[in-house]
Amino acid sequence: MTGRENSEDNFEQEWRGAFDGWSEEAPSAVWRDIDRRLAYEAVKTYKTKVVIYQWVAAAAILLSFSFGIIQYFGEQPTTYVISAAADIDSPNQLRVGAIELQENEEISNGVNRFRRDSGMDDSFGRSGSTYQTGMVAYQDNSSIESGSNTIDFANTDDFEKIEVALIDLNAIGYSPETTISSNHEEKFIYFLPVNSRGKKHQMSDEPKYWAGIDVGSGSFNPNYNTNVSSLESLGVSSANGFSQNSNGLFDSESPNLRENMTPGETVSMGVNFGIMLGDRWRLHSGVQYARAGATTETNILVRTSTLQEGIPATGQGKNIPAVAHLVASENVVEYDYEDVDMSNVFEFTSIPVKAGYLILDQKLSVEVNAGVVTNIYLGNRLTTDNPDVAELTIGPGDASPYRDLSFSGLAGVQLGYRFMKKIDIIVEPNYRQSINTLTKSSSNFSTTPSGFGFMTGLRYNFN
Amino acid sequence: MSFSDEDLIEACSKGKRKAQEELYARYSSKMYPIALRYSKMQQEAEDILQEAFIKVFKNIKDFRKDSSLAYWIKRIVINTALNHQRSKLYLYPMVDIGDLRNHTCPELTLSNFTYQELLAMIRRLPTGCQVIFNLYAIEGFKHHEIADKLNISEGTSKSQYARAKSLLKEWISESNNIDYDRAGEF
Repeated sequence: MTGRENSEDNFEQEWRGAFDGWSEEAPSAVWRDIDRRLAYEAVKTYKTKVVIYQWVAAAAILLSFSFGIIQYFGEQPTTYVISAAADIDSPNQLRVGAIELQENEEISNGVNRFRRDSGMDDSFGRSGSTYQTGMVAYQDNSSIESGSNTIDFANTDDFEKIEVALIDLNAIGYSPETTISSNHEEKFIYFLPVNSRGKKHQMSDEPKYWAGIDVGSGSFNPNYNTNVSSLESLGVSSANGFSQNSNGLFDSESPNLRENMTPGETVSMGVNFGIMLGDRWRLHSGVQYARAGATTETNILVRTSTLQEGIPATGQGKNIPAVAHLVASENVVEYDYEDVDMSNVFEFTSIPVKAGYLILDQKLSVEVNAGVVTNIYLGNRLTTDNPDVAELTIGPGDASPYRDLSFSGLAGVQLGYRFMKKIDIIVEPNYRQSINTLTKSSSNFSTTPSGFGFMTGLRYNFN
Repeated sequence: MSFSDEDLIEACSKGKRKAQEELYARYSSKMYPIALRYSKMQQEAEDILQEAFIKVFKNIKDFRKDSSLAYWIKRIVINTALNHQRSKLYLYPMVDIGDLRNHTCPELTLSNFTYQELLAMIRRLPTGCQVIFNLYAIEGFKHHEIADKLNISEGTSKSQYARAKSLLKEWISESNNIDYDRAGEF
């Protein structure tokens, strides 16, 4: 817009004058569409975080559901009871009540339902006249005759125990159907179970081996770097046809290639196993399938005579024979300067190996761990909702810009909760950082992914 | 309350929706005719305007203020319009049109035509002629600038412009004659 070079007549001046200063209101629908797109752009910024929260919520729901199912079906068979009397004058010398039930027989005493399982005998835990709850012991001892027995509870640590309630029958006005002893009738109190959860009292039966399933979610920051700033550096040939070149007059919209890969989220699922290496040390491993998502941005679509869709100009397509053929000079029609956001999904099989140290080893366990993850590259897929943009799938192999194998460091804190005799629920916040680049050294861009994650799962202890 | 351009630029850079709406209201009516000149249909012009303002809002933080805001927005609108036209230009590649004779119309004047009539003439031109006529005659680019921008030869730009000029003069002349003929009926 720098002036005239031909002033042979006033033709151009007439036209310029006719349009100079002219204005016309655009239809209101134009602003509505702009407003909608701006709102969409604003929402898209938070999309990644929302997706992560969704996965965490889904994992929590899955775990809660699993927990509920296991609790429901796991507790049913162990609804047994011990009904007996204790002499409150001698709290450590409790009398075993005569169980009137036969094996697998059930009764109801109006307060609870009781069942005696196969091979179960009954004895009773430490008591006192004011106890409300306590532990009782039981053992499979066929030599104990039905009727009565006396156990010194100072030496009952080797027995499995169940939790019971201590009920003052006089207080609740309950008259038992079975009278166990008549010697101290006024002083007798009765135990009823409130929780059939079995517990190993000694640490000697701490699990040595375990296996489980896990799901995870987290952030994925590709830490993208590129030296690509022009089509030439991408290896894209100049068009022979009619096209807009890079020396445009619109410096505010520089046609130089602007390519980027922005963070997204990752999800994973897999199986894990482990072994105790001592009192405090553990070794973990497993196999996981992981999907890591990012967003690839470019501002140029390469139009070719052989493909209806535009090919996004990105470093990821360089060196791939099919793409190179398409963007060869004889095939390029033009360059379309259009901002394109593409979903960029990486798929891996991951094998973590990590060592953990138990800080707390109770019903709730706390472990710090660290290790190395071997990532086996499965593929990469660039997709978009725009049907005018070609999709790109990059598998492993020589032509791929990505390494077939890459390695990451992993560190985290694992929290475990023993909610059943052999099953733990596990949650683990962790951080992962690539040790080497995900890309080959020959690539004209690099990624060294990192991110925070949250893993949760169930673990079965074999012994 | 009226904001200055500087205030609008700063607020738009922060993504303030009210400021974006104010900027659009301030400049859209000046930019819409430009989009109309580079398009064949109204819907196409609306698409150009929409796309251009999206780019304005995305890039306004990079606005260097070495030109006026209106001028900067105008360049984006024109560039967006050219992007829209390029596929058509490829389908109908521009070639040199030799030996074109200018219509002799020594007393040509546009004062008898309304804006809408002139706009209709421009939009009636072949796409290549339309683009180059707009760039040369109205925007004021030189032929070598147009050639660089569109990746065509300078001769192609000149010949396409000559073709556009010839057609426009022909249509103007015809319209004037019709008017004269109608005037004679009374």
